[in-house]
Amino acid sequence: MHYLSPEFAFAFLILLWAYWFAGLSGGVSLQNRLLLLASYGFYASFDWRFACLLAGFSLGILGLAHLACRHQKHLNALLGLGVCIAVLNLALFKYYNFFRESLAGGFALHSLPVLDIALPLGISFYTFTAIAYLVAVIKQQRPAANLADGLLYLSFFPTLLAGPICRPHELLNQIEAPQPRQLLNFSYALLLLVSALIKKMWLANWLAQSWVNPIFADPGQYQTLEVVGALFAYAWQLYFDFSGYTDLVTALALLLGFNLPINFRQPYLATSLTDFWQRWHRSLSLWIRDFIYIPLGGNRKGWLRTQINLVIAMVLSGLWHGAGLPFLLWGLWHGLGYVAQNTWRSLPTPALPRRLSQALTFTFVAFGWVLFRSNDWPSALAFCQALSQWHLPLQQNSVLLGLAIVVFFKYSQNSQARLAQLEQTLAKAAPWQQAIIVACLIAGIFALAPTGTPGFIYYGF
Amino acid sequence: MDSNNPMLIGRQLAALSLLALLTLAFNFEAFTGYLQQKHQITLSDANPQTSISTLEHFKNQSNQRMIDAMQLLLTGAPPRTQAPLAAPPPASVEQCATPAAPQTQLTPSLTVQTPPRPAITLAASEKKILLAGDSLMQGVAPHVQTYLRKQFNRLSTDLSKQSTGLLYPHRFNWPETLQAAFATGDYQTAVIFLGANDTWDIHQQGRSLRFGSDEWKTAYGQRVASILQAAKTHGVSILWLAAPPMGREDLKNRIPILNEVYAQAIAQFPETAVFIPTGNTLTVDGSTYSPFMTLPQTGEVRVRTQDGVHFTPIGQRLLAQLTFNHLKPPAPPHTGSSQADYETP
Repeated sequence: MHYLSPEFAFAFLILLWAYWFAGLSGGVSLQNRLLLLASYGFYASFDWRFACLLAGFSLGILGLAHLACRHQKHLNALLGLGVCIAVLNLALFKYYNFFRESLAGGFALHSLPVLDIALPLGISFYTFTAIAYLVAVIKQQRPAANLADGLLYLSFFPTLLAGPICRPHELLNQIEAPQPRQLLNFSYALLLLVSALIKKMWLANWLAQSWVNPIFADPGQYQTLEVVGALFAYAWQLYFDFSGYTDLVTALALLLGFNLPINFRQPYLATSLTDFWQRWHRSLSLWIRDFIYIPLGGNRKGWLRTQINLVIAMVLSGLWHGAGLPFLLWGLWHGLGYVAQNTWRSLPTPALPRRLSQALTFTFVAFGWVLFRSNDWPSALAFCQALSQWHLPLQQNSVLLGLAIVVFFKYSQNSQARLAQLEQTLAKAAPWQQAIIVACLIAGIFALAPTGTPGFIYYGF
Repeated sequence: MDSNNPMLIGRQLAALSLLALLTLAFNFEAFTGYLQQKHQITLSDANPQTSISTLEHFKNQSNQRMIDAMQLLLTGAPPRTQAPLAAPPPASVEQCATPAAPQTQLTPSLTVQTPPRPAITLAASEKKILLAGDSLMQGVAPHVQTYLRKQFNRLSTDLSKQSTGLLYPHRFNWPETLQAAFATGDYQTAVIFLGANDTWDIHQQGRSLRFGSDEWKTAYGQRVASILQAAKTHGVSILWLAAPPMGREDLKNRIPILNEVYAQAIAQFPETAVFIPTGNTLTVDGSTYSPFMTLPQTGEVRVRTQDGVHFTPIGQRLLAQLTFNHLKPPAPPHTGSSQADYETP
């Protein structure tokens, strides 16, 4: 049952009525129990085995956290054990077949049995959430959660499948707070819903169907301009896909009385890679910084060691995204990009104009996404080779794409302010009037969007 | 504004319910389409003629004008204009000898005469190849396109579309779409790969024809035949890939029925189409579904995804190779037409 489906909309609406009624009669604890039931029901609708795995994993992590609170002497051992369990769990489901097939040639691993195992949705996200929780408890930044609250924190359905990765102080604190919940920011939630549909159903879908899919399928038959167009189109498709999803789940959480952390801040306006990673998938960047980069030493051990730490952190981030050589290379691309950036900054070079920095950063990131999109290295290479095909005739409407991309950049520049203004305007109307306005907007989106229900790219992680 | 006032929350929830109802009402067509494709629930028998609307036509034309303008800007030369099309020569079939029975001598040098392999010879002229089908074809097509371009220097167009088949023409009409494509004269060869979405009842003139019944086979066979007839009229040769064995329980036993209908329909158009079984490429015994295959270079690899229907990249490449194996390079200049024939291996 995906978020963007009539079944989910129907089920969520029923949940909302029951949830807020439960808030009146039974308070926050009843609401939490209802959410826990709904979260596991939602997850089990994909596969009941995913739900069992999540439950077992969660109980293990929560149990270790409780032990840590009781046995102060063995904190490091317990942390080590917890992280091992989390990483091994992730490695088994996500990376086993990658090691078996990709590295088999070099290491004579053909004899390893093939495991017919499904990749549980969201496993990368809840693994990182669990590690963040365990570290917070063991470092005594917070007490261990009680069973129900802990289970809900690790299975909260708006963030379960593709984040944001919420730290304990961001989500668990809200779950545990005893004060009665409020339905947060109704008008803003509606606007986020519209934003999600525009981004996901219309823009990402249009870019994918008209540009990205045909050109990435066989780049060799397209002119250079079109291949470059597909490169930029994919960068924007990925942004609309992921940030559209984030808008949607943020809206769902607001309607349940929860505030989720911001995951995207106009990333393609970034003026450097450092800036980019503070704007794109922020919850993951902050996790990588706090649990990989800083434990490795961060920037406290000299310039060279800092660069090494950055490369390691980015390569691991790449592997987190996918079990495949292209993802590893994508991480390396960003790691080496960081090194190049830091080298440039350490030399007596002039500061670049802002627009130039933005263009360079966007182009660098867009090229990195080629590795993300390609199933394998030969496809990525074929795409890059196609960039020199000036002689072929044009088949795609580059004018329209060029105009669209200019509009995307222009809108990004003050999108937050515009959204705040729209919210103020919408909030002046009564709830039923807001519903009618939004229904008309949604009908318009349906009319403009290409046909077909889109999936979320980041679900596969 | 945040709200913990029960009355206000009640009004907001009521507003959300109203929003859901209005969204359903304003987009009912999309909703019924979703029900049909996802859950095979048909709410209406509506079968309007699908045709390109004036708005679509305008959009297509202005799209093409912008492409032509950009081409002029880049190269200084006007876009290529299509030469008037001559009627394509009718496809012909080489009479193939009856294959000899396999020899069963029990000697070390056992020789077996394998039956001739059906194939399409590509046109000598600069025509594109058309690829059509459902989401299975969407996965295979990119690999076919790359092979065609690299090995035969041929461009191709991929029209494949997920969640399509021949059952719901008012949702997407393959016979009409292919008829329109063939009529442009841009193609003389087409590869078609359908079936995964067609293992359900047909709703026709207020009646429901149960899948697999004689009536169903007749009605479905007519839809297949209409595509083949359109191809024959416009001199297009078709390579029709059989629906592959499936792992999903509700599809498993239905696929052979589909393939039986395809084979029968194609047998009525021997000069126009060839039917290529896919089971041997994806299974050990030719018919029993297996998510894994053992390949000579790489050992055991996964060829089907977890849903029991789609292919992994390796599975897609295997099918693309199968398609490619049944396409022959253009004949020497004096022939100049594509044809379905049988080549000796």
